[in-house]
Amino acid sequence: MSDVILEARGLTKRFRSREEGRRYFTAVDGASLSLHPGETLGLLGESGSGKSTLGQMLVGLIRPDEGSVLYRGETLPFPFRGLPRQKIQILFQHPEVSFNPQLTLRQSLSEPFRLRKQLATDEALTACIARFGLYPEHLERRPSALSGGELQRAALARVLVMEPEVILLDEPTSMLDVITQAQIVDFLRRYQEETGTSYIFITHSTSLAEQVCRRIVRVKEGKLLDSEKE
Amino acid sequence: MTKLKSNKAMLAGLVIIAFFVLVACLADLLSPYDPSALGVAYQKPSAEHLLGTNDLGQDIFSEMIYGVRVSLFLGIFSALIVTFVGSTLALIAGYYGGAADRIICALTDIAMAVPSLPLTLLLIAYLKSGVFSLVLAISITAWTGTARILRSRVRQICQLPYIKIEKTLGVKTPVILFRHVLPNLKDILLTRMALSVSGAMMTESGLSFLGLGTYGQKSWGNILHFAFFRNSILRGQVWWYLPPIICICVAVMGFMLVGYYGQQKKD
Amino acid sequence: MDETRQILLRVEDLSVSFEGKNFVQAVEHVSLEVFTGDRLCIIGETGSGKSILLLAILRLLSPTARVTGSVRYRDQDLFRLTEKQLDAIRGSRISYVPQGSGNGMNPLLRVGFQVAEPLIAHRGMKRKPAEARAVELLRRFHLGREETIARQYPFTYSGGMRQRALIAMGISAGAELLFADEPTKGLDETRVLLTAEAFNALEGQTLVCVTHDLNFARRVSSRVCVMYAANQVEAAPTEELFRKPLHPYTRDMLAAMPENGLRFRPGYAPAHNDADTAGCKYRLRCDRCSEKCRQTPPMFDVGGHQVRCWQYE
Repeated sequence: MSDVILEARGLTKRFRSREEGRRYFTAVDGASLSLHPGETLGLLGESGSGKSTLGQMLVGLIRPDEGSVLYRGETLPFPFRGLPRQKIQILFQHPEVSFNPQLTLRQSLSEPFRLRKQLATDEALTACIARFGLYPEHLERRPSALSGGELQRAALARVLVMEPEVILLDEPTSMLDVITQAQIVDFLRRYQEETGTSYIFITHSTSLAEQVCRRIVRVKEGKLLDSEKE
Repeated sequence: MTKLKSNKAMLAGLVIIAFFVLVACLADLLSPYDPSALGVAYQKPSAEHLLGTNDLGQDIFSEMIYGVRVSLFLGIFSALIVTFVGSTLALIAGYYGGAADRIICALTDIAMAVPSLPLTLLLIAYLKSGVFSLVLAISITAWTGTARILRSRVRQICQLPYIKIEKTLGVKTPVILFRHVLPNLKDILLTRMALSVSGAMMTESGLSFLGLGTYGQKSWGNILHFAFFRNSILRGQVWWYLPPIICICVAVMGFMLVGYYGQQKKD
Repeated sequence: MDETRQILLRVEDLSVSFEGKNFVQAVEHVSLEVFTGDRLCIIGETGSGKSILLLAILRLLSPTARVTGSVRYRDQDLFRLTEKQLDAIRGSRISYVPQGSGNGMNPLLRVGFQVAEPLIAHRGMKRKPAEARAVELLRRFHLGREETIARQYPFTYSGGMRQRALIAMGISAGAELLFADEPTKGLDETRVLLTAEAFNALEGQTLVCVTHDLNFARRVSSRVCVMYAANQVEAAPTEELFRKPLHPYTRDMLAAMPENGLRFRPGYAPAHNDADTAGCKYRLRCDRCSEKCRQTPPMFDVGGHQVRCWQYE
């Protein structure tokens, strides 16, 4: 099992239902999947299919009601701590709310450096954003003074400071225009070749999933449709 | 247009507050007499006694000036307690959710349902009279509004992607709460705080008026209490009962202006 | 060109700028013509000024915006009308579906009533039949269990449902000119298709729609106008534009679609207040850039296909 980096076993999550007559609805129903190093796994489904809930269980943001998440063969407790916490990261759909509005980009970007007990020097910060086409002057701005594309690139830069092994990409480009989307996808691809990072790519777009992912799992009404047989 | 208007209103509120704070700080310099020094009773306003004297011959103008201290201190101190308790509970409930949230919400509901005036009266009856018992009595039910409003705001913020990203980065909970959640509440905190001050000042003057206030320490409510119970209205001693009423109104309004318009100063 | 079609909306030389601490040129010299029955999609990336353009046409921008140029709706100059005259037109003859599903609805009223409201206000219908018609409209957008959900409040709706209910609200009074701002933002593929179908089912209504979703634009529109960095760079009938894009930016945009392999050219759109903006805005990213591109190109007409690029001089 050493070639599986992240695994889900029977993940189930129920929420209180807003509708009359039903107390709970099952957002994710016994989902099992495994992610290998250096691959991109697509989770494809419509909105409300439970793919985002599944994703957030995989990165330790939502506590599963049943089932467990395994990192390199070891069951992770909730919340994640230590190395797994550092190595499993997420990128969200809405770049404009991916940063604390009160902080400048410099302050936000310094945080992961601090967490890794590194110094957030000017050179380090500049290097970290330079490959995303952002400049030192962007560092002094607050999120409201940056465009969606710039923010999403900065959010990615910030996550990469942690040198993650798994990044959950929750519709990372659905709010962006096609060219920025292509740029981000291209960057992710090159980064993967360089470092062997694994991605879980959540999307509702079949054409995008087919371009980006090596393996696609469809999600419908909380269930994984074509789960691989092992 | 509205931006300008709200800015002006807030500025007016700030000027009022600054004025009273200044008076409270410089009370020793400003007041012509020792407010507890006895003299000739029931004097009309004159050059010597700007607002006349009370039943014990104490200078009302000096009483008023020293009264700022007690009223303001009570108001601000209770508001600090109220805001601290309210926001702490709100942060816990909103951030952790689940059982913590349910317990705190139930607690808030119960505290809201308790009739606050009788409870306050009861507390004062049991506690030793003094400024701190009064602060406690005022704060005991006043935190509910703050807690409830802040809790829903905290909940909203915690649903935002950036808080989730902080969590996956492995940022410690206290850092998330104090660096990423709390600063985004500052507008609403300011508002609630200002409104709590005015609320506490109102409660204080009400209690003092009933004679349950701070004996020995002169607050505006206290002055009003003696004015009424020495029949100043029947005697037509406007200079005795009107100044505390006006001062309470103006000070309360000052804090309310800041509270209501302070949050609109952005966008 | 069809003889029976009349010009419904004519936008001439419209520019919008925001003065202030940092000057922003949001829209630069845009001219558009919309004929009755047209379905025009304005496409471009975020920050290209397409939403601002729409708001400027409807005079919905804040007073801090400086708007120049003219907008004529039939024989009226929208910029010269009083607020009151404008209000009489907005809602009954021109309607607007705002961006974002969050704040377009009153949270305290049932959705069915809100969709029926324009009918009551502008068409003088009674409440009962108006609400019956509202249910019908909701059905057209495939919301599911329409009778039940029409009696519910907006908060019970998901984002996508609210979005479609908003469109239903926009078209309910049968305004002849419908403006929609990013009607598919945040919707998934299936729901984009449903929305497109609903737009296509409109009869006798003219549509002006701002979107960044190229597939949606292709499905819905008869004409497309492409905006880049505050400028209109290309305008053409939809199929022609998608089959034979002329402007380098349009070409690059189409190449970057997932269907076409996500190919792209490096670089980013210039900032709104970039000092170095003289000339063609795309010149720094363009592979066919020449010395001439330092001057701003005019709109060239290539057989009904308008393009702002010196190659077609």
